[in-house]
Amino acid sequence: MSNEFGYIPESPEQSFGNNKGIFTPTDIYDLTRADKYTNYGQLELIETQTGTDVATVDFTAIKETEYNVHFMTFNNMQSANDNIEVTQIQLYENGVLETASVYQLARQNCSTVSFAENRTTGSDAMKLLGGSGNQANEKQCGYAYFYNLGDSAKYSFCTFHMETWTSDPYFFAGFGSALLPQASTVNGIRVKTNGGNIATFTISLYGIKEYS
Amino acid sequence: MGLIQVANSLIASGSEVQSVKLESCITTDDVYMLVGNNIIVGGAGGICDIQPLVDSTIDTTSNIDIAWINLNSSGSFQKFGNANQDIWRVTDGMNLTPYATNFIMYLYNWNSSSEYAFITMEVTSHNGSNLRGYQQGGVKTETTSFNGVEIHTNQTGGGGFQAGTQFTLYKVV
Repeated sequence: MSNEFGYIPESPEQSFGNNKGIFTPTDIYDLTRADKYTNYGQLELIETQTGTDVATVDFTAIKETEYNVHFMTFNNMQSANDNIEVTQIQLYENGVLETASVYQLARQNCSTVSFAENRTTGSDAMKLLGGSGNQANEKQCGYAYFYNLGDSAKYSFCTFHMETWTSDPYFFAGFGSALLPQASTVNGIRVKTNGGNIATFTISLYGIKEYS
Repeated sequence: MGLIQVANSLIASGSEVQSVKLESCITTDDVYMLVGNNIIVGGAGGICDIQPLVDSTIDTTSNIDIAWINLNSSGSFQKFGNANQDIWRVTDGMNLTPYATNFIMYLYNWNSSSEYAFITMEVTSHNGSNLRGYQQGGVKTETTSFNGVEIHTNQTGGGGFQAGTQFTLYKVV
């Protein structure tokens, strides 16, 4: 008969799916950071960038080998200039920014005054929404999902839903999908405008973790 | 928003299939998020459809109402609404790698036995000719409590869904 009821070894080997013992918050924090604490599937924050008056916002540590799907949120996006697209996306392929007119886009525009289709097979960026203003409250916000960024054998896809208060002003939204039709490893994401600086921004990048 | 993974299916080489069932994984009234990533098939053409499960049994009742818009990069967008169909269609333009289909589908009230089951879905894909993205909403007009989801293709090339195709279901918390 065992005489070890209730006994916890001092340092049991810990691994994902095979945790043993009783854990303090510090234990859980440390094991989670080491990816050794069992917690199936999370929306994991990779990085948040916030600031004012910059030309571009680059995410260059996107953990593309860890996540198949990335999720990016945009808030308080405003351009320094009026009627400017402030959420244009370009991707880094193995550290090299793709700026050629190779991106494809299909976006449905919706507003309080009109609806329109926006489509292209030769854009220099994934243009998530049209222009917005630079006055008070004329901000853009929304989200995008990215797929297969880290897979060198796959194209890189995106779906998105954005909205803004325009410079006219009226409510304007767009949703759709975009594509970089090149089988490559994407290891960075750039957010830019089509003219001038980004006046204000808060952009968060998450990884959607999965365990097979 | 947080996510808790409740089911996952990653197609392995040599285990290609036409149907994937994520069973008995919807157990609460929370919203669930189904991710389809890198969906590829063994031959050009074919559909990818979704149906709800009660345990391992597919509900094939023709009472799904949908509305979607097909956004593509090289032609006019197509808008479509339909009533009383038996599936939610992800796409009808499946293809081989590096072309692929990817989607996010939110599931509402699937566990409920008193409310209709709703979905929203956003799709991005390349059918070999151009980018195709769908935005779709839909409802299954019955009050069955569903506890799983089935994804299937009619494409038989190479056995259906190819290695690397992945479906993951999360509970949104």
